[in-house]
Amino acid sequence: MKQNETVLDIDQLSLKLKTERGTFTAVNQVSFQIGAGETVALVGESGCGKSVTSLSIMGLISKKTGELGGSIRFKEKVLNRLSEREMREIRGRDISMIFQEPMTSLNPVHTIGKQIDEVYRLHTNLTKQERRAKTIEMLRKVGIPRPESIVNEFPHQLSGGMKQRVMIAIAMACEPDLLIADEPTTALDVTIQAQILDLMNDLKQTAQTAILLITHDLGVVAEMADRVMVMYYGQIVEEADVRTIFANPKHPYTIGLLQSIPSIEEETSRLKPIEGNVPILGEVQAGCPFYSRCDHAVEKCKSEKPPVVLTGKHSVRCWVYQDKEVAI
Amino acid sequence: MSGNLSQLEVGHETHPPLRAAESPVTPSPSYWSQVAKRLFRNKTAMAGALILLIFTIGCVCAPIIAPYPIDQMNFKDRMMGPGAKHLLGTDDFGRDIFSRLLYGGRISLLTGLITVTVASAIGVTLGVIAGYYRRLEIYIMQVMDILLALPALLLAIAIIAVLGPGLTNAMIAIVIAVIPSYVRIVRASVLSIREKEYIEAVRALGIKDRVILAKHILPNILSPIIVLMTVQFGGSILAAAALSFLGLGAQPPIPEWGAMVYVGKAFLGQAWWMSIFPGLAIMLVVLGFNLLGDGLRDALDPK
Repeated sequence: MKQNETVLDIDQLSLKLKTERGTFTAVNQVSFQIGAGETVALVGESGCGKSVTSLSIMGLISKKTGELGGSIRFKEKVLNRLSEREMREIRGRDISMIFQEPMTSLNPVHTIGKQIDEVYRLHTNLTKQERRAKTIEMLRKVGIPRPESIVNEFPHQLSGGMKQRVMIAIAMACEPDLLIADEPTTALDVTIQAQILDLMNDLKQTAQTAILLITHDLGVVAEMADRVMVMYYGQIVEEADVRTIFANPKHPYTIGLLQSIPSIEEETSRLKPIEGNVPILGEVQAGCPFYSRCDHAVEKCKSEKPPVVLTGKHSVRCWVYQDKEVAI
Repeated sequence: MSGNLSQLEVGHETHPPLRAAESPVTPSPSYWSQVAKRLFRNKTAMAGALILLIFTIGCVCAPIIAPYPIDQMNFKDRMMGPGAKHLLGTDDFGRDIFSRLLYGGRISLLTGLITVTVASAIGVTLGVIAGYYRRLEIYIMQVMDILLALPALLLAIAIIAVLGPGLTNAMIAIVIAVIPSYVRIVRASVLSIREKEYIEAVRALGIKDRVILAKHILPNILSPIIVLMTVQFGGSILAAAALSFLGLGAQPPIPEWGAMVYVGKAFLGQAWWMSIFPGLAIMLVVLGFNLLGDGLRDALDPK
């Protein structure tokens, strides 16, 4: 698989959200790249800035609610410099998105066929018959039985798993270069989850689509991702390939995340949760945002921002690794 | 033997449990046919629809049904009570009330139709804009709040005071007075729909705001609009009649129902039928619209 061509290059992305309580940094100097055909997972708890990062890439954060800094480069284009009109051309054709909640992501008043057709009508010059043929073909590709009759049905007639398949069909209709999947399986039950993940993998193989997978489910990460980024309080705190993250996690937060999922091999009486919550935006003024929940915190963590420590392709933002390798 | 075999095969193919398991989605009737079914089952709504149907047919076919021309005076038969010659009696000029009611109904229903169409077109547009484009919301809603602070009829009277009396001006006044209720309902509905995930999803497909509004948001808020239009239809007829009764709308000798009630008021002692029958007609039509509107509300939102 050719992975050297960079599809998405995000450099020092920051997002300041304007709320009634003031302006807060929801995404803080996030940089990462995604290559063609690569699957990168963005992992973290609720409220850590995963979803706003994806919305920023899509240009779906209005100027009124948020202020973007840094650059989002997609192939040759800098997305955050494009006009709304140029951005609309890209959405759905070059970059598309799958949302978390398949039950509510389809418009209840339009048929399935019409909702897929809309993408083709918008981004291609196909005739009506060609579009219909494409729509049925796409539904068949995502494993929907009887696509000829499903095109005429309404979302409420489909199950959650089927709806997510339709969402994937819509997202993959124009064979985008980048697919952003925002918790694509969270709302589905486990057997359907596996099917949907398989489907996404299959489509990725055939279309060479890069995937940005946003999730808090580490099982999904292990299944899908090539590389993992762990996000906490709007920052990427650790980044490495998927094997390294699971075998040798470094950041205390990543370790905590991994300890809070049950394992088949080891028998532990209780899971070890990470105490507390992600600080609310604006709460942390200085130092490491994970300080209050960290078992390894030292005095320095409270006052000074941790640096990014890089070992090979494994980067971690923590004071613990500053000068020495510490086993924790 | 072969017959038995083929029967067996057919029986196997249509094995019910297998079928059910294989097709989890059975085609079900579309949303609107379900709404229609619920509406037809609703007796009071059907009663309302029947009243309106009778009135509509009567008014449309007025030239055929009406026994006398509306302005044919007959001094011999002045203020004749209801009877065989004049079904609902005659007025102080000997004009046939039944005929005048049929023609007056045309005016009333047309008034309702025009005001509802114009008011909903303007109101829905403003409401959608206010709900979707937050920048403009404050300006639109503040004007609407000012209009809502005044009682609708009083506002209409004030507008007529500026424009002068007459049926057209009465309609303009009613339109202005009822627009805020459309704007409010539509805005609230748009606000709830625009946060739905499927709107975010179509935005992520690169669809223009205008198209999202027209094709994705508007169809989802049709039901409250339809209900409001139906109820407002009756309300507009009532308001137009009230304005005519006050001498601000249609002027006699136009056989507008409100104007007829007003004329008859002076003769209530001698010829009660002059006011009562037009009044009854107003009441029945408004009742019809209200019953139908209630039924539509239940049918469109079965929760």
